[in-house]
Amino acid sequence: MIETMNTNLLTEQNRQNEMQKLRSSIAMSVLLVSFSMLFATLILSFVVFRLSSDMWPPMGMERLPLLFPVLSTVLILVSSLTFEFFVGALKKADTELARILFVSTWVLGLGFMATQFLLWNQMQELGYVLETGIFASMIYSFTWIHAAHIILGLAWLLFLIPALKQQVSFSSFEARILSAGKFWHFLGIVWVLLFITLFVV
Amino acid sequence: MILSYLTSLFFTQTWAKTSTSDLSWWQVMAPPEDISVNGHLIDWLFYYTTGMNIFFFVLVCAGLFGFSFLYYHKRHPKPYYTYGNKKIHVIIATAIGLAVFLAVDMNITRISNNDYTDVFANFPNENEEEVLRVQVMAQQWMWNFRYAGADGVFNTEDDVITMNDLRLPINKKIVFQIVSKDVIHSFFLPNARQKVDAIPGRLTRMWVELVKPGNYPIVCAEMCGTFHYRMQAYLTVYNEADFADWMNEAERNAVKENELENADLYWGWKWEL
Amino acid sequence: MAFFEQHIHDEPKTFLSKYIISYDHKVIGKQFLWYGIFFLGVGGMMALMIRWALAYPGVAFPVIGKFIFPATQGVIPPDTYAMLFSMHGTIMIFYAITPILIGAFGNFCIPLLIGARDMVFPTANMLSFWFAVVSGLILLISLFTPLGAAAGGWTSYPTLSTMVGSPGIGQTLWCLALFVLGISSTMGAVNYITTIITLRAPGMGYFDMPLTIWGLWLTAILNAIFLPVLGAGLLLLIFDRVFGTTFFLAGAAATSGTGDPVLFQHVFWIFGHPEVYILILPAWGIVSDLLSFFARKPAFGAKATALAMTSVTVLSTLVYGHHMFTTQMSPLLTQTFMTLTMTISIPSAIFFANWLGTIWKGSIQFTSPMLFSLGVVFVFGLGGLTGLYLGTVTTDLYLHDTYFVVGHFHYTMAASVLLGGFAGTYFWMPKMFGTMMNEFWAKVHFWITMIGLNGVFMGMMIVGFAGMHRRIYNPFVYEFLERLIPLNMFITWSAILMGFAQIIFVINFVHAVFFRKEKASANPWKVGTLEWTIPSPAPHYNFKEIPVVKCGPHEFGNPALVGRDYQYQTEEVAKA
Repeated sequence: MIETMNTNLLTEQNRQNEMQKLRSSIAMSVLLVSFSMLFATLILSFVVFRLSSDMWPPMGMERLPLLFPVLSTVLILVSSLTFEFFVGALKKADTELARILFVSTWVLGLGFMATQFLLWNQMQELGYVLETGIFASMIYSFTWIHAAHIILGLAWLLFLIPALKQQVSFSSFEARILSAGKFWHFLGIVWVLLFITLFVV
Repeated sequence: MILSYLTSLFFTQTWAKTSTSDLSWWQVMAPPEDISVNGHLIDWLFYYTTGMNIFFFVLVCAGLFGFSFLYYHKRHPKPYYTYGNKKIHVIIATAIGLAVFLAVDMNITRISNNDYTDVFANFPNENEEEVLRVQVMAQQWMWNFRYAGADGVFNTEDDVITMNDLRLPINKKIVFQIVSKDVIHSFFLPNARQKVDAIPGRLTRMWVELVKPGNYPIVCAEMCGTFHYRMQAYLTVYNEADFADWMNEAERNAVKENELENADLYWGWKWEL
Repeated sequence: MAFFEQHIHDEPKTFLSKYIISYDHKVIGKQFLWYGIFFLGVGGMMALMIRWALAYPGVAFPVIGKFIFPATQGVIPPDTYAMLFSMHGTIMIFYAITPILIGAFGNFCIPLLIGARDMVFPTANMLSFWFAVVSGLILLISLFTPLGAAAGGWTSYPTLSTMVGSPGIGQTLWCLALFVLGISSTMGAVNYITTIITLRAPGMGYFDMPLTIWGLWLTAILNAIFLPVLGAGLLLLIFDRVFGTTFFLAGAAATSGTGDPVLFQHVFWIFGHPEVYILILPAWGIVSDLLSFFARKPAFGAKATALAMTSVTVLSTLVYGHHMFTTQMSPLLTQTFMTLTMTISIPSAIFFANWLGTIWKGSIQFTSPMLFSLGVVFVFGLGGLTGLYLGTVTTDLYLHDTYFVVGHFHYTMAASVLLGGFAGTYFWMPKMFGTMMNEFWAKVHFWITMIGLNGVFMGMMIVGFAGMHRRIYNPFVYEFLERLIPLNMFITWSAILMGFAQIIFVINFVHAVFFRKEKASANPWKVGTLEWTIPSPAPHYNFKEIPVVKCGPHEFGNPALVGRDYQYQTEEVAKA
């Protein structure tokens, strides 16, 4: 009798978790559409400026050295990978490994921010300040807007810390973890697009 | 007290003003006199659309008021139970949709598009026919006009430059190139039914051909700051002979009066087709 | 459907948790309603000042003018005039109509009409309101900054809205306020969409939802997709203003590099055209439902109406170019945008036909919500049809930026949406506050408003066609507009009439909320949607038992019914 009640409760709990997952995945998809539109508009304005100028970068400007942008790209892509491994480790209830991977994801995110700061410093040294025409303006403002989202993403990741405790069931945190992950990967993808448009094309 | 103050204001002001003009209501509501060759196309399309709109709106009103009268619950206590998903209902609703679309929309779209591509956006070929070229620069809050002057080249010493004063001949195609110095303005000739925005950093173009001499307004139609409402210029339309006289004199004066050292004189640009 | 038990909070006890930091969708809806009505008053007052300046230039604004503009003995100065119309547009669109139609009805109706206990994310919902409050405060503060509030029109086209044209901090605050409001609305939109997808009561398919929910849902989708576009544009504008970038500066105004002022117009209207539908879709939904409720007859072609609204939503994203014909587009582009714009009239005509089909052979009860709904059909007919002139490029060459445009968009965005909002307020009043509003005064309110608004907006279209252009402080510096003075006075007096009619509404509303003794019954309108199966006002956590839906929302006049002419959605359709 009690046993069947327990299994009922258990399946009920599972059902709730499933629903939670569905709910947050719908909400997350909608939210990511919103964020994509924000960055799509920025990229649209890049395309407009790019197509309407005869040469690129505009007169008197030179391309930036690719060192820091490439470093940023590598860091953020690796952090996406470590995040995926972190999820895998949690699924296998390997808390030790999960902790390491989570911290490395976060540190890689910080590293990304650091390379961004280095990039802005370097630009300043090369004489590219915000006011020097749209080429520099775009790099500064787009990376700033993206960096603001990275900070948001880092804060979001902090909400996963409770999942790192011993003996928590993965399924009760699954929705939260997947949402944070989607946002983190999304920021990585956006960065790659920005990298291509701002520094390569 | 407040009310009587308001009403007295209303009556004194209204009647004082209306008594000075003898216009009928229809004349008040009509658009300004059309002085261009092509303005009638726009007027005609407007009245055509109005006719169509009135027809369909009368249908809507017939339904709205007619049904409200016929099916008032005291008069018609038992409603007809239907979801409106019978074949005949769907066909009627779709037919109404298509009727509006085909009879009004596609018609006016076609006419308007023809007018636009054949007339308003079909700029005269300046290599083949003689046109009058005018450069317009808008700024807060005035209009600068520039004619090429005796040498026919823009941005030279002998250009005729005027402020808020545009003079044009009849029966000659006039091409404007328009730019703005600061914010976005809009070059609007109500009597020619046309306007085009004046945008900093890019040239826009407009062409008109006028037929009726007289004095007309030029206004700025795009919000451009506090004194947007005062950004008025005056258009004087001459017949051919009068225009030639004015132009000759203006060209002579221009050579004499233009301050050649003043860099502000050279706001014009090279006329490119 | 994907139904799951929601976590139930305890009923809040303290004033703070009950009315201020409330997670309850009903309270948040009411908060938005008050917020919207407050800003409606502010925006309406501004409208009257604008109208006064247009009819009596140089005459002091009556009664309160001396206190507001002491420096000029009550005459509205031209720079203030520019501020007034910019803020009027902004406030009415973003701070009055959006909170009332989307914030208030969205929050209040969505869970109740789909049989849920609350929104999916109550915290986000609460935050959405408080973000809106912050945004509103920023906007109000901007009115008192040294150089005044934003004065570049609600569209705020650069370069007028950059430092070149408006050096004050007001314009920056305007951008910031709208950006914050964008965050609030996006949060709301995510919440609405997810709630409607996941929390519909068991048995409720998408076509069993009331059309109100369809309207709100489509609105939320448009909001989620297109508000960020405006957000990005505003961010770039803020960068231009604060950090000295030159995204939207060009020509002599740009000291280095060149931006493109027209880019902002593209970005603005990519958002701006869907925004028009964001505002009108909830009103369409409400009207589609109410016409059926009070014609005591199923909504005619409800599925077709829902699908037509959906296709309008899709089309609305493709037509924004018709706002920019005068920036000189290539004929190929004008043709494309013109044709796409015209295509919108197919679905619009279909649901218009359905609205008329709904009242055809009905048994119409002229209650106040019904009157307002019929009013929407009338004014939206006018507004929609006059849009044709502006969608065709050649007539737009003449009419663009004249009062004709002003009249047209007030018919669609102001008149229809407000009447729809009033219809909804009168209709859901018993469920919101537990009392009915006075029917007699509601009808008086309707007729005066209707006469007033037609006088105003029809008059605007006439003066527009007669050549009066927009946003001018004193039209009578132009000789060719002097003949329009009496007409402008007529418009102003109509506006004043309409303004006074709203006092009737406010008194009626406040009286019903705070002072009315007799309680409304659970189902005063005899309607079968889910919110009417529970007591009035709706209790905490709405439904004791989550209802199971067995039929559509518009089951009226079924001949097999005995005793009453409507069915609840929880009942099987009666069979003879």
